[in-house]
Amino acid sequence: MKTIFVYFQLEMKRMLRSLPGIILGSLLLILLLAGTFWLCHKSTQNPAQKKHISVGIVAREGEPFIDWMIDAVSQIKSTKYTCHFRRLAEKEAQRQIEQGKINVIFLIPKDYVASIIRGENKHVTIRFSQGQTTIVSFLLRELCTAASSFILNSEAGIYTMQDYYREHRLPHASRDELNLNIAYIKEIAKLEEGVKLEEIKIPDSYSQTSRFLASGIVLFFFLWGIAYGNLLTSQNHAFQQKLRISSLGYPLQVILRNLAFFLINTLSFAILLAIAHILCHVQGMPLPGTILSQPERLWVFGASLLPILWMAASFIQWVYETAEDRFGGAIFLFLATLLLALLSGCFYPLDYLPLSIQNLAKALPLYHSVEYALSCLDRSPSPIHLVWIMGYGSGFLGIAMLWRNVRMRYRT
Amino acid sequence: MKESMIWLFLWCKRLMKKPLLLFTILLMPLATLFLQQCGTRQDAMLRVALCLETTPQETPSPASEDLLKQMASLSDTSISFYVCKNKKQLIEDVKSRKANCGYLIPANLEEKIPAYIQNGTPFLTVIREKKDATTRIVDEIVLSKNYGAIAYHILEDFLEKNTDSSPDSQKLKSTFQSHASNELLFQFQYLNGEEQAILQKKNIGILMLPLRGIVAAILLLTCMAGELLCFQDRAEGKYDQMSRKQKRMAALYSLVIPGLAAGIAALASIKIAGISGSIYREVPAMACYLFACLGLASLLGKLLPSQGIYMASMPLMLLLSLLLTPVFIDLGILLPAIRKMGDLLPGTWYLKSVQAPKNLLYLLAYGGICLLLGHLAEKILRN
Repeated sequence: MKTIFVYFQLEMKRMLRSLPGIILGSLLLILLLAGTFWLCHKSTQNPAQKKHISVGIVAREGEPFIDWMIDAVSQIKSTKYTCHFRRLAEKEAQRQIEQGKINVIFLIPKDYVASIIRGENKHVTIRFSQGQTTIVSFLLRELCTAASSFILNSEAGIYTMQDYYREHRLPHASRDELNLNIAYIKEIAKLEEGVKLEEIKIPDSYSQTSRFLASGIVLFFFLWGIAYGNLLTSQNHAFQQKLRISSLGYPLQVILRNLAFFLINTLSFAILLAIAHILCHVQGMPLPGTILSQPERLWVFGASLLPILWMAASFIQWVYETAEDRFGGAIFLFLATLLLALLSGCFYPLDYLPLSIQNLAKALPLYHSVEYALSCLDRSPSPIHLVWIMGYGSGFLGIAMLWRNVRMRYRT
Repeated sequence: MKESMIWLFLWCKRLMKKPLLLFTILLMPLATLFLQQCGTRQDAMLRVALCLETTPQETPSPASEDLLKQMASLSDTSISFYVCKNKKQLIEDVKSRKANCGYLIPANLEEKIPAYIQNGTPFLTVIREKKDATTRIVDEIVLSKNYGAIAYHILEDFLEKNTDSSPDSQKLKSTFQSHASNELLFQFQYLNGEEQAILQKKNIGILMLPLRGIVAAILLLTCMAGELLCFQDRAEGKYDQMSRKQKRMAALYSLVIPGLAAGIAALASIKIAGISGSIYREVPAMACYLFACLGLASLLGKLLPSQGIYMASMPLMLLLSLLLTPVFIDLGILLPAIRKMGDLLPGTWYLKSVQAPKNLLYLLAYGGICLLLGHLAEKILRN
């Protein structure tokens, strides 16, 4: 019993010595995450003041109908509050997109409208501000496919009308062609009225902000472990054997280390919560309608996250126990966390991922951690996810104990 | 030269004795392969359920069935459509998130569309969650598929009102269909004017899109872990008996060798993912980025006083790399200040440099400045 207590004290002392550096790093991390989260949250609060996507339109001077098309597209419901269009010269547009002042350029070719009328259908070029393809690019491609369909079907209608007028030798072809064009354009502008919306309520549906917060907290708990390589890499083998001889078996050594590590993590977490509490008093609470709507409830929320903290601690300990060195352990921990986070819907909503991954996610520890954190935010911690978390925590700890046992027996 | 080669051999041997590091580096291309295989033809970012809105006594019209079949065949990376048996199943699928939203196509589409043109009565019903903004894009796509029929009815209506003759519907329809086309009237370019060929591919998994940014972050981590190895060696006194030249070589190899191994694995991952460009672009971009990461890792190693603090800075640098550089989404669209902050990280320039090679110079300058600052910091702190 005395040996257990002494060893536990040694582990705690060792970890406490590294605490200031870890707190400092964690503080910077929290400030970074919280700052970004707060700024993004503020910018999405008021839809009318939401940041516009700036679109530059480049067309030849005197190109007909361009200003009118810009006005018409700007009035479409879905673009009214998200896109801001302005006409620019090509060099100025390129300069602005490189500086990040505009997000997308539409390059309208010379005699574009005339080419549409003639049936040549010159292509509009869309230039993005990024150097790589993103989801936004794919979604814009879909919208452009839809736009192409609108243009080409309207064209088909105009050509059919021209053929009909020619065949029946009807008068006023040009006037009627213009009127039909206007009719098509009016129809495209109000086409959304053709769809009736039937809203449904989806159970266990959380806001994007809550999801980002929960994912951020869980990722923080796991990535924190990169800083703990010093504390968790295996001790000297002779020392471990000596402890074993003193009736402190290898599994028990792992358990005590886990306990010390968890307590240090809890202490660090408490310090960070205290700082967050002060900031929330000053700034106001970020998430109305959740447990974080009152500053006092922040501590209740923090306490409810301790199972996730313990599971993360067990996972981190297992990684370093297996790695035996901080170098490989840190890299493996980061990659494993990133992979788990990607597959659990932390970066992209789970709905966006392939069905096979959605099914896989429901067996992953990060998925259950995020869902549990969300349920805690909602003031009703989910017992099912809690059971998964405790199960995973026990599993990681069990594997770490087994690994230490097998490794030491093999060595001796 | 001989001495350098011996040191290189020793450091490579040293790294081979860290199996978890090798496993992690190998895991990059293996994980990419796994993620790529996970997506099937039926998988897409948005899944849309379709259903014919019929009663048991009603037979759906050919136009309704044609539209249903046409839309179900349109699946690609961004949106996939599938058919549900009935409205109840459609609602269940939307509630259980098997589908992001659902559309009910009326059984008598030929009557609904003219009624819409005359009176503005909606002809389609969409079922989705109230606050779902993303699936509104699907409205445009679904409407564009119906627009052919709408355009035809507008034409027919127009001809009836503006001419004395009553057009032959069949002939008119046939002429209309002969003029219709499915061409895409837009082309897409990167910032440097190069075509985004990847957008022409029908099935690229969305998990592959942020891969370049992710491997960039892993490369930065590997370089920082290499610097950590230097810290460890100094603390264990391994450098005490070395000459200045040997210390420099040891420090250099600790950074370069793991970085190079990770760089090769990263290039392989990008190639497997299908997002790779020409090798004459990818290799120089990766090499310059590696140089910038080595500079940054070395600078941080000189500035931060202890191993503990350096280790504490690693998750910070990684999160900065993932948040401030446009890996998953470009937060700079919401907050321009983030774009400015992102420019301080080598990852941002790496992501730009693949399509705009002039950014390679910025990466080289970045690495050079970091190394110079590190050298100055070491001199000042030593004095």
